[in-house]
Amino acid sequence: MIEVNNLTKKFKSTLAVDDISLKINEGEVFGCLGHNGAGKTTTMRLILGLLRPTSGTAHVWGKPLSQNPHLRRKVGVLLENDGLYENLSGEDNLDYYARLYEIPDRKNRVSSLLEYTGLDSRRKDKVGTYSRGMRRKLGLARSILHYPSVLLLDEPSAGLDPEVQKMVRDLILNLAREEKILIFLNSHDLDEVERICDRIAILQRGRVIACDSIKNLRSASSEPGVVIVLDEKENPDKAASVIESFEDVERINQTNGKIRVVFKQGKSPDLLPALVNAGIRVSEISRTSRSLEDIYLEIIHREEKQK
Amino acid sequence: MTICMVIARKEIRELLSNRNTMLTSLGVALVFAVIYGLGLTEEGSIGGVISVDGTLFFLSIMLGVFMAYSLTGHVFYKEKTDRIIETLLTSPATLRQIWLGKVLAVSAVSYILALIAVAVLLIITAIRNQGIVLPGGPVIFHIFLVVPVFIAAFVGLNGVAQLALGMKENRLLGFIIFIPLFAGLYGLGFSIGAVTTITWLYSALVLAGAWLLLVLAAFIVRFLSTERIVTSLG
Ligand SMILES: Nc1ncnc2c1ncn2[C@@H]1O[C@H](COP(=O)(O)OP(=O)(O)OP(=O)(O)O)[C@@H](O)[C@H]1O
Ligand SMILES: [Mg+2]
Repeated sequence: MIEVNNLTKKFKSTLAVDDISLKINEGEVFGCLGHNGAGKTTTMRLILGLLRPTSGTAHVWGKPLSQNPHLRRKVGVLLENDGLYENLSGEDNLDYYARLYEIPDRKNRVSSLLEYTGLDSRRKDKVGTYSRGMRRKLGLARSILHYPSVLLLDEPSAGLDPEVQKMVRDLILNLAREEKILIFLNSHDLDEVERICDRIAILQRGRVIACDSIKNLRSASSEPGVVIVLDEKENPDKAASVIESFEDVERINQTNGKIRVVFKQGKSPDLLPALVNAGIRVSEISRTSRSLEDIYLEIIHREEKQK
Repeated sequence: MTICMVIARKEIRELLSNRNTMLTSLGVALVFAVIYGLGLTEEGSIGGVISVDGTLFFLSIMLGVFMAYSLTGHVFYKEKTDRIIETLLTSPATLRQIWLGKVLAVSAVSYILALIAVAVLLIITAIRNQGIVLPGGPVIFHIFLVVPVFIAAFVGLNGVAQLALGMKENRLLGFIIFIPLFAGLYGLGFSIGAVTTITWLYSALVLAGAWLLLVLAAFIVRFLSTERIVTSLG
């Protein structure tokens, strides 16, 4: 379990992390978003005990990792750098870390991870000859080698092709759902975050400006409603007048055959039967769902304006 | 195997797999062994037999330290420029264990290179003398018990410095150490070595100095922090 309280980190004149408090539980996949330089990596380094907080605390299982090597045994880490030695083969890299973590049955564990990541045929080649994506995969294998209970990943799928990105996503979901591992990840890939994270925090200039589940953020930030697409030959004005007759409709706006309807807060009137009864041909109706990107940008911009 | 030994083992393997570095180091060791071996003159000879004592005394220690100097960067500083050290510091290994493992690895490889040079020098003098010339007791003691400690002390101090300093400071430090080291290898070992008689007192003094430096290194490493390393990555 990760618990961060009033965490602050100052580098000379830069306030990299500014009074952050977070609590993340086991089995949770937690995503940390934010523009470049928002303080994501610094927060992760503080949790890992690589940096000393200027004030506040960052604890894992109630203790700082910096002073507890035995707790670090149960923590897996993939930073921006993969942590691999170019002069050693893929297999020797994993073997080294397996020895450091004193993993029983080392050889089998290393082999199965090499197979899992599809690097088996290159196991004897030096990592210096691997592609960027292959290294990232090996780095990920390294981070879970010792069956960690907490896994921290700094932009795990940066620079990976779609197929490998999917592999990484599946791996993360599997670890969280099946093995109840706590996963804390920094990412710029909003699509990935939307698919795998239970909760997210958005960082801006070292501060947490939003922290909640994606579902809650979505309902808090976006207006509920539907988008209606009419048959090509249909008259939009006729449809609009039918929709406007509903009390629960806040407003509508129509653009080339598409009608965007915004409901009053908490309401969800059933428009389709009324439209059909009025003889209007509807070819598509769907809930307005905003992507995480929309929500993210809205929250960031709202915060900018308040400044 | 303890964490220190796991680290030492990996560092040695990595050093040995770096063919360029190893061949260059071996080349330098051989060149100096040959220069020293051929440079021995009748001046330092006792009863017509060339004495190897002074030469071996200086060659073993100066060359060992010189090798350690050129290998330390591969083992300590490179992990910082590659930013791998950050990941290593999140493992169960403590800073002290990492430091000690690396010191052991660099010292072992440097010491073996120094021993190779000593062996080559003995072979050269044997050929020149048409008979084996063995060094005296104090020099044998020095080669086997003093030199490894001295090398470890040097690596220990240099390693702490490399872990603590940034890129620019590290370059400057390397340059500052190189000059006296190279001068020593040439001047002390080559010129003075051949005409110096090595007594037990000399060996004891160097041993005391080596232990003092080693204790100093072990003390200074206390003040090294993870934060210091992470904020001075290359
Ligand atoms: N060692 C350091 N010394 C000085 N300033 C630093 C140091 N590390 C980070 N910073 C500063 O702290 C701020 C936050 O950096 P951080 O690396 O945490 O951002 P990030 O959110 O991870 O960005 P990115 O998305 O680009 O990885 C930046 O302004 C950065 O310049
Ligand atoms: Mg970052």
